[in-house]
Amino acid sequence: MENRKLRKADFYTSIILFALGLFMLVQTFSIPMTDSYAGVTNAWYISPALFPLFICPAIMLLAVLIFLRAVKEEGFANLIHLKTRKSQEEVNQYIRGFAVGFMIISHVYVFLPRTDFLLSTCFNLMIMMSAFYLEQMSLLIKISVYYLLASLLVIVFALMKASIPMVTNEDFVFLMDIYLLISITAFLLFCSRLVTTNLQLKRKLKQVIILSITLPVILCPIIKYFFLIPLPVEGIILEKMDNIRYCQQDESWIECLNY
Amino acid sequence: MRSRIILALIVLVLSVSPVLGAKRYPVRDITNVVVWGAGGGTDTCNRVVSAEMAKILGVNINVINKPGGASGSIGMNYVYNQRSDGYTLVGLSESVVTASVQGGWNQRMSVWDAMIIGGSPDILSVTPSSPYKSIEDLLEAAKKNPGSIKAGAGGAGSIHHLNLLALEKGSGAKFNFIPYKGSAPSQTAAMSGEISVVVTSVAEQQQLIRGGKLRPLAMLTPDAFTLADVGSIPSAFDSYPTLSEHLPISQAIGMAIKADAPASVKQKVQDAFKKALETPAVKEWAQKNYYKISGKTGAAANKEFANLESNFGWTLWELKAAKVNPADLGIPQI
Amino acid sequence: MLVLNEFFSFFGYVYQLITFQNMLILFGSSLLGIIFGAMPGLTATLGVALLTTLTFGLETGTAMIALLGMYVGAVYGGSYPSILINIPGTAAAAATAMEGYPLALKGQAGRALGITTTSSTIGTLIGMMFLVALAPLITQLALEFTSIEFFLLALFGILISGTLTSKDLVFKGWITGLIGLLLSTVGRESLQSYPRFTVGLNDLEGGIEVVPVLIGAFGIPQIITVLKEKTILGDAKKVQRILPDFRVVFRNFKHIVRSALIGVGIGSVPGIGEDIAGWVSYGTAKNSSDNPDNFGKGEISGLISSETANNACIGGALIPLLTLGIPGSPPAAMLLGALMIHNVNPGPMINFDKPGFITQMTAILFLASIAMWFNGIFLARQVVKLLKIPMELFMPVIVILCVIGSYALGFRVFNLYLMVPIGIIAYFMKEMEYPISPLVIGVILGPMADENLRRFLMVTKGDFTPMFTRPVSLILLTIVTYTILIQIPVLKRMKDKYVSPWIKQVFSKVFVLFTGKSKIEKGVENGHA
Repeated sequence: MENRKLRKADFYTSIILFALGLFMLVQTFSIPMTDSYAGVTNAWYISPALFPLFICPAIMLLAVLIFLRAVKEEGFANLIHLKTRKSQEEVNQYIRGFAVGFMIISHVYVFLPRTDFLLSTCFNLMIMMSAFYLEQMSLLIKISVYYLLASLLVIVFALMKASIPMVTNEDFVFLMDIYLLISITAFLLFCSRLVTTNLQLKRKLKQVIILSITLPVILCPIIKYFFLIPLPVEGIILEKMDNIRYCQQDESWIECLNY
Repeated sequence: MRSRIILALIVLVLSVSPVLGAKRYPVRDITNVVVWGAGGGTDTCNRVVSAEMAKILGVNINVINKPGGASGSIGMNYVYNQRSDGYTLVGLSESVVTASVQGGWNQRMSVWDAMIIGGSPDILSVTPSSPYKSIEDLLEAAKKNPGSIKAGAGGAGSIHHLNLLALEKGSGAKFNFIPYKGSAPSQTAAMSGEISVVVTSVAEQQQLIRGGKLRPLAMLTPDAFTLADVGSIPSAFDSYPTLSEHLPISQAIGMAIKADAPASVKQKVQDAFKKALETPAVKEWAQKNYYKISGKTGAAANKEFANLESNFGWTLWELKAAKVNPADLGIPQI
Repeated sequence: MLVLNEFFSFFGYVYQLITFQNMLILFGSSLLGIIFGAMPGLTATLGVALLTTLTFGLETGTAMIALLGMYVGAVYGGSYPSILINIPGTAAAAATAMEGYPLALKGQAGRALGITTTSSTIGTLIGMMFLVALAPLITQLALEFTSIEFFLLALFGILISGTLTSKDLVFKGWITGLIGLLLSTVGRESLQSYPRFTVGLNDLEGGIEVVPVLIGAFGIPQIITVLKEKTILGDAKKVQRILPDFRVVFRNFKHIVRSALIGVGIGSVPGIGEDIAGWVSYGTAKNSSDNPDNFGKGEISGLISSETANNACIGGALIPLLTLGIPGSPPAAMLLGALMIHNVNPGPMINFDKPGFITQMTAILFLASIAMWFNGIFLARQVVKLLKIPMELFMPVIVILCVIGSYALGFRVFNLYLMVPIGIIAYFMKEMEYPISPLVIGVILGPMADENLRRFLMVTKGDFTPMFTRPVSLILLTIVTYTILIQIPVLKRMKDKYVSPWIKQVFSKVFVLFTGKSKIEKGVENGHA
């Protein structure tokens, strides 16, 4: 960021940082300085509050210094004046940045804890790759909106589940997996309709689909069986994988797959 | 292309069905979640025994570490939230019984069916350069100047800390307790002289004692202990018989399975556990590392843990180290 | 004499170990280690833990080959994503990103990888030499460290991070460092188990772990920036020379030696490990460099300093591990568990219980570093080709790897919930030119500083005098004071004017004594040749 904008940003962030320091300092006062804990007699120098008591005022002091420098260099009047003109490219960048942030947030908070890991990873890869690789702003916006709607539906379902106590966690995951499979299919149809016109985009979309399906399918077994890391949510696809893995111990394959 | 996608997905959806409970146990890998860090006593004991159990049961047992929280509450919460199908075990030790009164975990220990591997008796040692040559020297000096002698015993609220407190209660001596992040750092501090006294288990101290870095004074159990190259270490009970009212508090390292798992599954796990403890690999390992094998399972093990829960919980509450009143959790005072 | 004996038996062991099966396992685990370290969030500790389980049934010597191969590989492997995508693969390689990534942007990724490979190998070898020759001496020194020394060491590490920022941003660097320290206080503190700032969330009781912070702070801003601005890595069109120019190595000889010493020193102090070694070495290199302004733009000496130190730390960490049974770093702690499972009890009696074990371990370490070098050079050539993949396809995969990495160390989804907000905040901070690295260092070193200061005061009952009377403490205090004072511009100018030329004179005189040639003579020779 060039200097002027930087100072303006400093102006506001230093205020936020000061507030943060102050808030934490107030919290620190509730930490006991006397009395005995866990068989250890307390004193000012042993108290857990010691460290935060040094850090918070230091943060406040530094925030003030940054604030003062911003004011000194740019002048108070200039800083309050907020508007600046932005070029089209800058706006595009903002939108892209927003989209990435939103996709990551949605994946981690909405899909990952509630659906099969392989499916949610697949979906996320599909969305992110197609949104950015196809390099059309209009497509990016449409795809992001699709992801937004899909996540909102999941949130609605989760709220519904909370009000019906009979639905257990496993059942919910199962239902969400079905929902996700449907969403992925719908997305693929949606996307292929959007790019029927352009041959190059069609090719790129095919690459995206292949990658976003094969990568999780290769990655998940390696993590589960080789690195021995149990995945966060094991829904229908991953349980199928478990069954296939242990099929050697059972008599007939068909019976196995129906487990 | 569109139609092919739809077809593929219909096939996939049709082949999907909810997984039913396994008819045979075990049909896939078991996970043993150890609630303490890697390399510690609980971790190594669990790894050795799990390896033998894996051979007996015919599947892998993956031992993973999930330390943290209040006395292992993170690990215990994780296992508690898994299905009670016997595929997730928890590797724990006696110290986890304090998780509930420290506010990290809101169940009683009775939700677990415990299997105790064993433990190592606690021993009191001093820095070689200190003037105390016997337990009497140390305790008399501590009584004369209460709070002047610095002592370490692992972390605050750990079993070694409780052993130290019991020693103080039973003998009337008072130390200046300095908490560390575990047994190993407190032993290091004793070697370097930052503290003069350290109480941890024989398994943890034996190398250092044999190497001359620590001087052993007494065992905190009724029997004396013989250590190779060092000789016999007397029991503190010989000079201070009143200690028998408060000690010994023995270690109980082991693993547990959720109590509401199917009875047949629990039986299989317990049988594998008992067989594993009989194998030469485990026996040799225990002997070399100075662990006393207990092997208790079922009701006997659960009773031991219930006693530990009560003892530890109420002691911590009296020390004002507990966040939650044990009475609120329904823990009886023994 | 004893030292020479050690060297002879050492070569004997090396010779014994070279069997086909052992070499296969060695190269395999080394390769696996590099891949492990290269995935952001998967740490050396996790890798050693994984192999401990896998090698349970193997014989002790073979298991150790696998474990040490993995350890060395993983510490080195972290440099790959640091250089290629500015996301450190392990905390130890975070400093490598500062110089490695600018080099990659200039199209010199292959060269950077070659340099890190070689310097990592040299670092590991020097660490190993210390293990062979000086272990008992260093053990004695390590025992001199009590709480106050640990506190001063942590303070030193934190101050170094403050100096990693350029002059315009000093305040900003310190503020991020302080925020990092504040973050580290969240959770149940270790002395009294009192929960600080946990806002009733059970998940926060264990505090905020380093790995999600690391990935969040470095990874997410990078992902957002690249996808937002469509950055392309420098064109690697010319066939890159991966094997480093050996003249580069010689020119940076003093950096290598100094970094290795820092690495071994930090490794042998129980508790802190490779993460800090890398940063401290980098910071020291920057502070004592002739052209500090080139740092951050692709300065080779910075790259070498960071990588040599974090690998030398391995040898250092093994010293207290084997001689006292106290691990010198987190992966060494995992190694301790593995050793105990194989019935090897490290500690003062190890030379009685298992004579020659330490020498055997150093032999394995030697072979592991050679294996790492070969694997590294081979892999670097392939990995550079990865740069041709379009960023828009690569970055979403990195997102998934970051998710797995954050989740893997504790199997906690909560880590992911932490990683994302930290990442988003870090992104904005980066945009506003607040340096991120002090924050991560604050989170790593905060608990150590806090705990040890208070424990020291507990032991002395509030009295500060032992800080000035204990010898090691006094040395550390001097270093800390020096680091603080030279930040003040007036004093810095004085140092540049008087102290640095004096130090240079002393060093060149020592150099002359050793090599019998003066620089002037050498210069004349080169001129004529």
